[in-house]
Amino acid sequence: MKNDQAYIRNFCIIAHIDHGKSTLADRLLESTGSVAPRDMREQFLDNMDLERERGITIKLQATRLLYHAKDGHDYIFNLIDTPGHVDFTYEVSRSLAACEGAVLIVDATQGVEAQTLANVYLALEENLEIVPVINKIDLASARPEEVIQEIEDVIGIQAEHAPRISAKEGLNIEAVLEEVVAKVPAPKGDPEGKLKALIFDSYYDNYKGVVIYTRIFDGSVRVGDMIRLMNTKKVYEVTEVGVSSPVQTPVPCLSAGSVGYLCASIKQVSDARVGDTITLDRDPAPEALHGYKKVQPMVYCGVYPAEGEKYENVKDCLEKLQVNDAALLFEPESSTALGFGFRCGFLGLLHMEIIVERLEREFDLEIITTSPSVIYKVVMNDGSEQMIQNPSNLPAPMTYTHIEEPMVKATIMLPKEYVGAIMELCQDRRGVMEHMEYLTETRVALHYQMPLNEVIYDFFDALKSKTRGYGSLDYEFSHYQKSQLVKMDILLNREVVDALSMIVHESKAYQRGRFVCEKLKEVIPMHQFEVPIQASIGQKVIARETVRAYRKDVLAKCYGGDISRKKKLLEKQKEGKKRMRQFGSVEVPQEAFTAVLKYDDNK
Amino acid sequence: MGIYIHIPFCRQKCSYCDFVSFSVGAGAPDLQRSYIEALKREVALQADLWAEKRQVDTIYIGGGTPTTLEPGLIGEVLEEIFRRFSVVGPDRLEMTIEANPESVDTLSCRRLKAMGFNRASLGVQSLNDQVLRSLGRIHDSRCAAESFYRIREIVTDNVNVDVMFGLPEQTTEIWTETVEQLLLWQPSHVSFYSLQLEEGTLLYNLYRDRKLELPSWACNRAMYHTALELLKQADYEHYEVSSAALPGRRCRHNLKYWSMQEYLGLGLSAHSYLEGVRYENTPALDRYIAGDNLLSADPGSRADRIGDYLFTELRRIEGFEFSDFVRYFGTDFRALYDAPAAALIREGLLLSDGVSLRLSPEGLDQTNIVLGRLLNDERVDDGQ
Repeated sequence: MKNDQAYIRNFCIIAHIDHGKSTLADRLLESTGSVAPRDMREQFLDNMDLERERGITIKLQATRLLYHAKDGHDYIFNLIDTPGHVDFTYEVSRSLAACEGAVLIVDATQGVEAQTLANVYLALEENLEIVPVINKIDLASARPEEVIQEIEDVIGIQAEHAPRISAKEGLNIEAVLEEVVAKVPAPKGDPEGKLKALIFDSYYDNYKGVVIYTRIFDGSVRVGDMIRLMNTKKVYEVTEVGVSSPVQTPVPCLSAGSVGYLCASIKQVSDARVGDTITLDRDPAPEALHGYKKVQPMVYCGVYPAEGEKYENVKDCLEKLQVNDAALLFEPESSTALGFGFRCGFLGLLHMEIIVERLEREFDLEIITTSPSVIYKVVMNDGSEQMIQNPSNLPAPMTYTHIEEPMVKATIMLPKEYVGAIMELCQDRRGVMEHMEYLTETRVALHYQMPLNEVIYDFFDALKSKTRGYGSLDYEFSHYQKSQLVKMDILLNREVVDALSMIVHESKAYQRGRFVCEKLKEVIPMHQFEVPIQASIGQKVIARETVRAYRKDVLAKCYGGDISRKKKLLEKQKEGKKRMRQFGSVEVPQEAFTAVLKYDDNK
Repeated sequence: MGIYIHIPFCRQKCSYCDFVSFSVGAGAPDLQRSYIEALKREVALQADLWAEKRQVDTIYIGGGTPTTLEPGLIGEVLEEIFRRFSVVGPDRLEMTIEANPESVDTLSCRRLKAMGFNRASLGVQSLNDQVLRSLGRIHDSRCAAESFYRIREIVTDNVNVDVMFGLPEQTTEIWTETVEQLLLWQPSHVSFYSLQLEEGTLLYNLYRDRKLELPSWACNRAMYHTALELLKQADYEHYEVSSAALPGRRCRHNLKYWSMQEYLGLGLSAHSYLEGVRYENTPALDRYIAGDNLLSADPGSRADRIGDYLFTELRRIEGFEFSDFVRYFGTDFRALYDAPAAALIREGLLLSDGVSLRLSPEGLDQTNIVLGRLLNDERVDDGQ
């Protein structure tokens, strides 16, 4: 096989979530014979169980495929899979930077969605050639002609020859491969130049240390080279280079135009950050590749050991996850209600949910998570600024002049019949519309400035619910803005539960307070005595509910020899134990902490 | 050994019920057929483990509403039991089936008789139609009476009637009327339960949201003691917290639960107590049908076993004898529980004659609190 750059094609697949990206990747692997059918698990590229279950790609993967094209030549395809979710935009942009082209999948039943567009814009920023593909044409509701028209109108690229495929049924996959050969440009790096290689993904391996996925732009790298990471300025010795095809296979050398992996005894993923440039220590490139940025968490929440769980266990597990996830930040904090725990920073809500789920599932931890919060900028009386991630840490009202909150630019795409409902929703969430455009006759894009604080609570669920699942959302940080924010406390049986405190906009405080009290009333079981639930701002109670008293003084019917019912009353059963938290004499189920955040259609 | 068989189907689930049961309306023949097949497989499986060296002398079919099933299906399970276990002769065997008034007609009674049932338990709950409606029951008082007489005439004269008090819409007068009317039927056995709101049930939510009122606690207790008084006048023996029987008609099967005797529970979410170990079957119907029966097996710590002993034995009005406790645990009860027991006796909640320990009439009103204090758990103490 000639390792000539003319026969290399580096490309990725971009799509809105659920449009079939991972399924197409699987088919490409199959049809190029890269994976023997017996090894073929569905969605080969999605490694983590969680990814497979949720049908989303979280971490990137790069795979080398060999394709014998109709022109008689053998091509090396480097397929770089990208995450589809809004939380991982930066990772997407770096994997795009490693490619010359992008296969754009559009669902023939759904058309162009917010993330389709967001990803296309990212790809165009990286000057990628877009290869549109229409997927799911096997479905009865497919409308390929309309969708092609939509792509041409909305995105402004030619799509009339786009392959019409069904990744699920394996229909027309060959046409996609031929389009990649014909349309994606070959890499044009200088193999003799100074080494410049982009890190577009990395993960931690117990035996090899950090494994870096990289795209070589110029020069070459081999085992024994001393490499320098240009942004972190750290130097390492290369211990292995190779390609994933898709099993990792060592090769002597990676040179300009190719994509592969590299190990250099690096201990933490955060030392080999996505977007950094690798060069040779003895002969460095004059400047790094553009676009490096250190990802910043946007959403924070408290993670506490549930009753019976050890603080040290939670710490160990967070450390283990962090080795593999440079975007996860955490530091110790304490709460009077929940004891010692951690404040964790995440890229977004999905990222948070994934980490929490992994802690519970992979590490079998019992944890309690508190309301997510954004980072508020508090401007103090003396002009200094404090960044606050935990509502409990908000300074006393007399000590600061004002609070600023992060704003995002949100793009919402939806069928036009839902525009009214969603404009109402956005307005309710303090959104300010910048403009609205008709993408086609039936589809609309709404552009809003919105406080991130409103987006992270339940906006996405509300959007999905109010558009019957057809609305899609993309957002990015825009700026900090002065805002009338107050801290709202929740009291159970007249005692503040600090873990339930939240920062809310003054205009929303009553509504939010009522909602939280009602929700808590639903999930807190009845006790032998009345339990008042109050929401307050400072000393002022703004909402109140009461959990009724219910006396359970006598034994229940003990049915069919089931004495567990009585046991439940008489001793804390294991199950009850780990899910309940005692505040004074009030028992609060763990779900209370998340229930107050959930979108409720009826509210 | 006793055998309990759970039939998790009802025509319609009652608003207070949180037992494992599925509403199937007029029936779900395929589902019921697969359930019975799974039950038969479990009978065979358990027989291999337990049938040897044991004689079965009580069989209890409960639910749900066993009589929602086509009687032949129950016959199939019984046949399997008789084939694989050694069961005592018909004169020594107590064989009970639970029924709801709406589900017993003459034909099904004849078939129950033919299968050998010599005890029945009828879920009447109330004889006031307004109260019945508030519980989501689908029968009325007339239907209840007809069913009772039908069963007694055709199946057996050993019939228990289940009734409940502390119900929505129920006053002390309504309750007294129900009990008096009931006693005119002269059932051999009466079970009388205080309504308990269980999380997740319709009644629980209604009460929590203040859409429903219940009789006050004082009223609830007055109802209990009224029932005890009326039953006593009619020569019933109050032998367990919620059970009274005419002489010689105590339920031998249920007594096993209250006296550390062995029982084998078959079916969905059924519980067993065998060789000192408590077993629980899965409550998931699909898993059970797939043959994945067991949820947990718990030998229990010594403290668990003592706890189990106390709260089962103390349900019996005569309580337990200290010598019996020593036989089980090798220690004198009074040495282990001296302080809390002495306090409870002083407060008049427990009674002891030096040989045995039992609940006093006042103690019967606060069974959870008494047991909670005995087992030293503050949680069931009054939270205030």
